Amino acid sequence: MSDIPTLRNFVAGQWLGEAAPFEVRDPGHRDTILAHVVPADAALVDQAVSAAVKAQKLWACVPVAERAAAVLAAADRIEAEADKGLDGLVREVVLETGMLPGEITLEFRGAAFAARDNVEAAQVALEPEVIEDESSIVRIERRPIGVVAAIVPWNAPIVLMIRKFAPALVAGCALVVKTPPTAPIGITKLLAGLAELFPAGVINVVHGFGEVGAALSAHPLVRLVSFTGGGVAARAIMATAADTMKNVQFELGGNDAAIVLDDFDIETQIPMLMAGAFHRSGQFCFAIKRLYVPDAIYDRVFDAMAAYLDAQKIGHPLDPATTFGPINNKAQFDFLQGLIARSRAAGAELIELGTPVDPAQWETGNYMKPVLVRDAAPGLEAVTCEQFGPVLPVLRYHDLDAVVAQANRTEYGLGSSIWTRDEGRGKALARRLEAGMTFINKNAQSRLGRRHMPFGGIKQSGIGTENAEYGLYEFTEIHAINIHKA
Amino acid sequence: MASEPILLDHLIDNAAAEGGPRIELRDPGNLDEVVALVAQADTATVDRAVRSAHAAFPLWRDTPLAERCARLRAAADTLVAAADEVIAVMARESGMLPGTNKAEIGMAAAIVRDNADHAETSLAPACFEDADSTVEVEKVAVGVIAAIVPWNAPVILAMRKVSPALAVGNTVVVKTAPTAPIGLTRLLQAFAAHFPAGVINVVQGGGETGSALVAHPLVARVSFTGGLKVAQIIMKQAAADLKRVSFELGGNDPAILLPDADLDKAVPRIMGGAFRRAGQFCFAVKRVYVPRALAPELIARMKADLDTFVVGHPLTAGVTVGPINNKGQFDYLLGLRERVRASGVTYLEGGTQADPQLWDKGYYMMPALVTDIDPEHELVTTEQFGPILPIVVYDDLDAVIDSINAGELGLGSSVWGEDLDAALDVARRIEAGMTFINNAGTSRLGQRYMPFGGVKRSGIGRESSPVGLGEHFALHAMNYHK
Repeated sequence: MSDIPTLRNFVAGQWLGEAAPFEVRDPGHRDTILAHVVPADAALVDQAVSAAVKAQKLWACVPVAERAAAVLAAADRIEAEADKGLDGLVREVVLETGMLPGEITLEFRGAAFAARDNVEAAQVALEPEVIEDESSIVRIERRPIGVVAAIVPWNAPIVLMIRKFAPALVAGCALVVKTPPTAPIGITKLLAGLAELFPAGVINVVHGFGEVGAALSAHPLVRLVSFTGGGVAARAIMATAADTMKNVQFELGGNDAAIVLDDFDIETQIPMLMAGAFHRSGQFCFAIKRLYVPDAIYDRVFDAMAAYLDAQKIGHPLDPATTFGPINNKAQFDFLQGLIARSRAAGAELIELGTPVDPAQWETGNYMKPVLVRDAAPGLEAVTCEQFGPVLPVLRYHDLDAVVAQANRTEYGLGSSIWTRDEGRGKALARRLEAGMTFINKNAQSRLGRRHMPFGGIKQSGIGTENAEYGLYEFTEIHAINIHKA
Repeated sequence: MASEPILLDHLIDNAAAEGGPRIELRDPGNLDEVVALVAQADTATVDRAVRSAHAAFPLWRDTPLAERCARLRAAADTLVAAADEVIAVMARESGMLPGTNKAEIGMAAAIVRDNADHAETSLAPACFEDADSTVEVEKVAVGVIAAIVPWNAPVILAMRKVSPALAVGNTVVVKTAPTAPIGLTRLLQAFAAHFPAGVINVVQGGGETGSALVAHPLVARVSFTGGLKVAQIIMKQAAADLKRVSFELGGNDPAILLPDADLDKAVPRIMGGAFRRAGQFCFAVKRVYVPRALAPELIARMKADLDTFVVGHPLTAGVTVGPINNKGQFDYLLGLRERVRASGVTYLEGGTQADPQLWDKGYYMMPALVTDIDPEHELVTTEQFGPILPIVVYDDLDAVIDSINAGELGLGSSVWGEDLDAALDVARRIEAGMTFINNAGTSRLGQRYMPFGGVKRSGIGRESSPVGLGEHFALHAMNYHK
């Protein structure tokens, strides 16, 4: 069809690429092709990196204040897109991701905050530290690490890209962004617009699958691979990065435990708890992946959760009646269907809830009803794996120490949450969890948290961190200078 | 010097532990001498050591910070007290001079104390609060850290890993270097006695032992000092279960003299920076760039200094330059020397032989300066890690900096000039982890506060300073919504 746009790679201000395109389809209506995307080949990846190398040398010499101003201008444009709502890029991202307009609008706002927060962190983090005594001076300077490959996933492409974009650019790096194959459109259009604020070549965008990520990870002039996504890809990136001794920063999956304490307020806290698990149909890295509820209130909590979910209307994200969108892609959808089948076969009690907005369209998209697993056993696959979808196992507990042990008995360690009105008890329990992040009473960052929480995981949920001063440091190398006075 | 070979075992749970076959360790200054028979940890022995460290972890992590630091400081004193007992055996295994070894142990003790101090000032959580929420960022121990140490300065390089690891609350398994395991093991044994059993374990062995350690699922992090090739292997292995890594690797560190360099100061410092440990240290001066006008005077003075060197067995009185540590490195340097000599440069050897009768029994070579050399010569563009120093004459400083930055190594560097502002401007243009101005190493303040490490292929991460301590903890950010 001639009205389907073609999306090429964006290299130093030029739209490039002649390879056979792949299709991006609407996950809520798979017959609709949103774009034909031209993937980058190895030569084009090299061209993008070379453009970035050239631009980076100049960008690094631009004063920090000027770099910060450019990133802040980018933040304003991102916020302006949020204000346009479905009249702008929000619509494109809604269509390609399957996420709801409200979720994507918030994502753009969150991305604008992330850009501004990273600039604020940079004011502190990029300042040289000077220590002096009678015989010498030590200067610790933070230099841009160089060209950064930013490999971004489909589930929250705008904010996860901006978490790399903003610290990289304010630190003086140049970027080659690899878009996710099922959500490349919004990112590319946004970045091509933002590129006007920066010298040509500072921002480059390439499309494609694993081989493009591999080419970036192997390129000798890429100094850092900043990747958000899955563990399998992260392992491959790190093994490839080893050849050229690149730094890596990974934000990966989690199997985030939520622990409800016995003072949980069912009346007021259920919506927040449910959003923590089912926002974006469960497709976000720090979504609640398993929920532990004390025996004394288990049935009441479970019933309230079921009632909440049963009110959900599952459908196309552009249908105003929809409150619950589809799964982004067929592979993830098939995995979730398989997980449900295996859980049932293992004897688990799975309860599907909610209603289709348009039953006639149900089979045309990656639609599924949200699922609660009642009295899930600790060893059930749906408990121990990262489901990344709307299937939530709810575990009954009697002994909090046993819950802590179970929560920690995993190779993951991204987020976690605790639900209690007792701040002291919540924080004491939080300290016992092996995780990069623990949220109390809302499974998300507060405004303060966005600015000051390093975002990332421990164990196999990641390496390094994003946001805050620590996140900014990932995009720098230290140059320590020792001046001997005599 | 002949004596019975030492039987060297591993240290597991604060006790000597056998495990794996033994190999001979010979004196690089007299290959007739077998210094030790060293057990080589097999997979089962590595597993015992890691499990010991893993079992000790919860108790040590939960030991109060003040007590962890007090034990570290007491252990630092023990290092100093034990120094005289090991400096001779260290000389016999590594070829390094007793005085160098003594200074190394003193500096290692200072590193331990510095890390205890840094832990006390930087492990407190960062706390933020506003009307809606609180944020607390805690710094938590990560578990068992594998510390893989090279032969060239084993005590310092081990303590750069062990002391921050322990200060934070981690436990460690140290793998020593096959050609310098004895002194380090003895010192670590004395050091470990200050800590609960299992907090410090030591395994002996080569690449297979290291590989078993890196692959062990209970190891959370690998901290390695050594060469790029091994680091690449470690990182590929670590990728399998996404272990954190930090690497301090080689450098090709330039010393750039500016026209106003003070040669009285620069010559002895550059010579020490290039030829100490027979040039076998990571941030040794590997190449000298001198402005044309200064070159004749610099070369004459450096050659005069070189001529005072006395090369021989480190335990022979008066020796100032010892042998090369091992056959692999010695053969590489002999080959390099042949290629350099054949390439039409001026090759200026200097110094005298202290032990002519031992010369062919050890890995000895005369130190040399190489002049009239092309800036793109192999000796200039690679890391020699030995006592052959190229001196490149330059007319254009910008071209020197471009050529340095075009290389893939970026560990240390030095700039020499009396106008400190001008020297700092030059320093800031060099792509390196560290730049020293008017010296070829860190001041005492620098030892304590300079993050030590390199950029590009000279490493990942940093050691020493609060930044280096930061490699040993994970962040746990807590966000309480009011």
